[in-house]
Amino acid sequence: MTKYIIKRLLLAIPVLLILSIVVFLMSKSVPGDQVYSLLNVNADTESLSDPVISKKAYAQKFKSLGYDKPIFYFSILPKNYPDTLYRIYPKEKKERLKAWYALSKNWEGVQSLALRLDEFELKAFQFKDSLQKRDAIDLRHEFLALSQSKTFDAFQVPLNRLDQIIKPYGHLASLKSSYSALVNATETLKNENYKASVFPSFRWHGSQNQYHQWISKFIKADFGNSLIDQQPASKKIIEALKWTLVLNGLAILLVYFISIPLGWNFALKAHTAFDKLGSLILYMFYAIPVFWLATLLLIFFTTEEYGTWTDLFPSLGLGRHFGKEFSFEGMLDIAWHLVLPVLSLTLVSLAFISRQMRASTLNEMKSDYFRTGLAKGLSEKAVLKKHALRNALFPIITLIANVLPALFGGSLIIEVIFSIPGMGRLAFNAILSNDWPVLFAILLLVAFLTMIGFLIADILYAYLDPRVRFQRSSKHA
Amino acid sequence: MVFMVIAILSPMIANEKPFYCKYEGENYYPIFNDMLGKFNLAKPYEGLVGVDWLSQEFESILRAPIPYSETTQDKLNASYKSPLGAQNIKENRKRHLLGTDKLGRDILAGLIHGTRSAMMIGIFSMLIAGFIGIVIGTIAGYFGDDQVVLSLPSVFLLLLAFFFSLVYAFVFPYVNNYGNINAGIYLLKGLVISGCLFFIFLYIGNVLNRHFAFKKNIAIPIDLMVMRFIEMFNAIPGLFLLLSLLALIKTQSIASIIVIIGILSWTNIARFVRAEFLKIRSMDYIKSARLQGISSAKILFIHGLPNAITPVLITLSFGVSAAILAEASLSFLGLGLAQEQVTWGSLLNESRSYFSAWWLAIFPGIAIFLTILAFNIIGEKLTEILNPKI
Repeated sequence: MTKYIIKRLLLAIPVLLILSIVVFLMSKSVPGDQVYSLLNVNADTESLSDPVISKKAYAQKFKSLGYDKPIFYFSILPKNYPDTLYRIYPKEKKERLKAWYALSKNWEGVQSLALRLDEFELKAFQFKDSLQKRDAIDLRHEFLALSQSKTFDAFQVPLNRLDQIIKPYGHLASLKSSYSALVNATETLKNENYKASVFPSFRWHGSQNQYHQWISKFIKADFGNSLIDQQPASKKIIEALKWTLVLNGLAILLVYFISIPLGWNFALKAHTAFDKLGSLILYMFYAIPVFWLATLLLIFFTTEEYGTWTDLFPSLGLGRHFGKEFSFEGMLDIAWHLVLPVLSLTLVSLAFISRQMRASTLNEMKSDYFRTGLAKGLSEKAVLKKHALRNALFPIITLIANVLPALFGGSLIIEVIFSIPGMGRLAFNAILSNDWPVLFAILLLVAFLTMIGFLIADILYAYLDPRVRFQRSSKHA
Repeated sequence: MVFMVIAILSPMIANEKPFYCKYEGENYYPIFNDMLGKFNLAKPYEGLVGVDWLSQEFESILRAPIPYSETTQDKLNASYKSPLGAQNIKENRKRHLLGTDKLGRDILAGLIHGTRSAMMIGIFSMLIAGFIGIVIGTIAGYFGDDQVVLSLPSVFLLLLAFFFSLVYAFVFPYVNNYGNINAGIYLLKGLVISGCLFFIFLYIGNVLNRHFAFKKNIAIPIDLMVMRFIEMFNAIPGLFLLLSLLALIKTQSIASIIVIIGILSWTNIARFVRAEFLKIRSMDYIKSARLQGISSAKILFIHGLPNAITPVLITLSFGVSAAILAEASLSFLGLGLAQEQVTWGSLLNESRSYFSAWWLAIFPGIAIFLTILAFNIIGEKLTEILNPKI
């Protein structure tokens, strides 16, 4: 048994590792620039319009988030690919340089173009006040067009416009000189043809990388700060996890308490009218979408719209006692608010588990040992209770591994419908408001929890059914 | 089947435009014209530009059974008109049989058009999932943990192939075309290149094995690796993953939703195919085929797959209902398709903002429920027909 558990745990490690890498890569490929989102919360907009100050603020945040480090432990890239690209900020500039490199394969040229562009921007800002207001705005506009161009040929139009804007100003010689430097850099990039290297080069970055930093923080339950209100994501998530666990725990308990006797009894009375009707109803329930059921319950049982007696339950949220100090009365109130959500979560999984229980009991009743028991004179009841029940329960227990992810998914919708402040609603709101640190922390946490559920189910199954332990390979996963 | 017919004919059943109309002395066939126009076979009528289909008088007309499109906003019947209550209907119009929503859109027309997107998502995403699932499940089930025995150099070559395909099929094209990548073409190209690389390296390994005798052989636990991979896929609850992936994609269309649902739901199919192959591979006829020296590819496709296909059909039909449910959940949450068109889920979502409109909650729900029930029953019946034992 211990050997099996150790083997199973060892197998889980690479899976968890790959999962965390996948989630990390997802979190790295989000649209938008998180540094800006974080800066916008506490910096006043006035200072952001000044390129010198805003760049300084950006650089500070960029460094403190560790974004100036390479992404992973190592990188395999073309030989002539820039090896310090990850240090470049802001993100939009990095993206720009990557695209320019892909177009030209000439990193030196791209670098000098970027340098000239920065120089020109700085100069333009210096002489902002000596330009006419209209021209200053136009300059800014064309400059943006320049930095967003996808091809070098597309540079021509904004460059010409820039030339026209600064030409009338006789005294701004230094702006003009940096303009011609910009034109030169573009020309060299356009005219020189470089080929991409076909040889890969392997670079080792050590533990000073973003993934290492992210995962070691994750293990210490530090998930970063929410982009929306700067609160630590871990605090938000733990607060929300509590409610999700309450909701799902109650639902699982109810499901198992109701569905096991239900399925058992259906199987005992198999092929009678009772069983047929019950199975039909369960079958219908199985096809009911959880969100439809919840919506119906919400619409018909929380208002007085459809007769006075239908206003049975409170509608949304957890009531006025939520978030206050613990009291018996408050707990009752919250429990009252949880009735409908738990009910809708239960009803849907109920059908699934009951059907499985019925099938597995019937399966046991067909088995040889069952007939042997009857043949040696035991009553049917005794055989059923003493032998069949235990065997019929095996598959049901392991089903919890299948039910767990489904419940988490289902509780997302339920939490949104009944606005219960759980993980699902937190994740949903994070998606709507692009709060990436919270979203991906939840994703990885849910994945870890589900994996633990799988593990427990597997070990439980091996404990109950010794055949599994002695198999050469684990074929039941 | 009924759902399929409704899905295909939806523009004919519910449309504000008529089949045929005579207007200012000319004959027009607007619905057919629209349908042909989608395939660039017909040009839109110039004479009908700017015609308000709801109120315009025609000289003669043959309307669709439900004379409202899913997007038609009947301003006279806006803000939630009940199907049972009074509706402000002109003489030449039909009632809104299942009521209207806030903007005065006909619910029945919305339901009928929703059938189309639901069917498309259900069936096409399952085609994708079925393909991936069958390939991976077959490999895992047929080879198991002990069938692939490679010599040490072959293992080394395989690792090399993996490394090279990672570098040349995925990393290099990515950095060398950055900012100008079409995700679909990129993935397809990458898979083809890496497939070729694996084939070449395996072939080299075979040649080496033929000429030199290597003593040490290693069994590759393919089944174990695939099962861990599936476990990893299942660890993140489907809806969470679906939502997060959609959040990462900038442009959401019906195609991207189909692809994502397809990619996320192959695991069940793969598991069933694998289980079937584990059973099949120890059967006598496969063993005898192996003994005769028939290549594994031939055994797989000619002898194995036809026998393993039955459980796939069953999981596919359950999968269709799961995919439809997934899409409905998405639109119910106001994400995915719901932003651009009327679906069952989006109609149901509207009911949450106005509790009195029970028709908004009941009818779309029944549509989803019936579809899921239908596909579940198909799956169940298939099980009974194909497995008489149970």
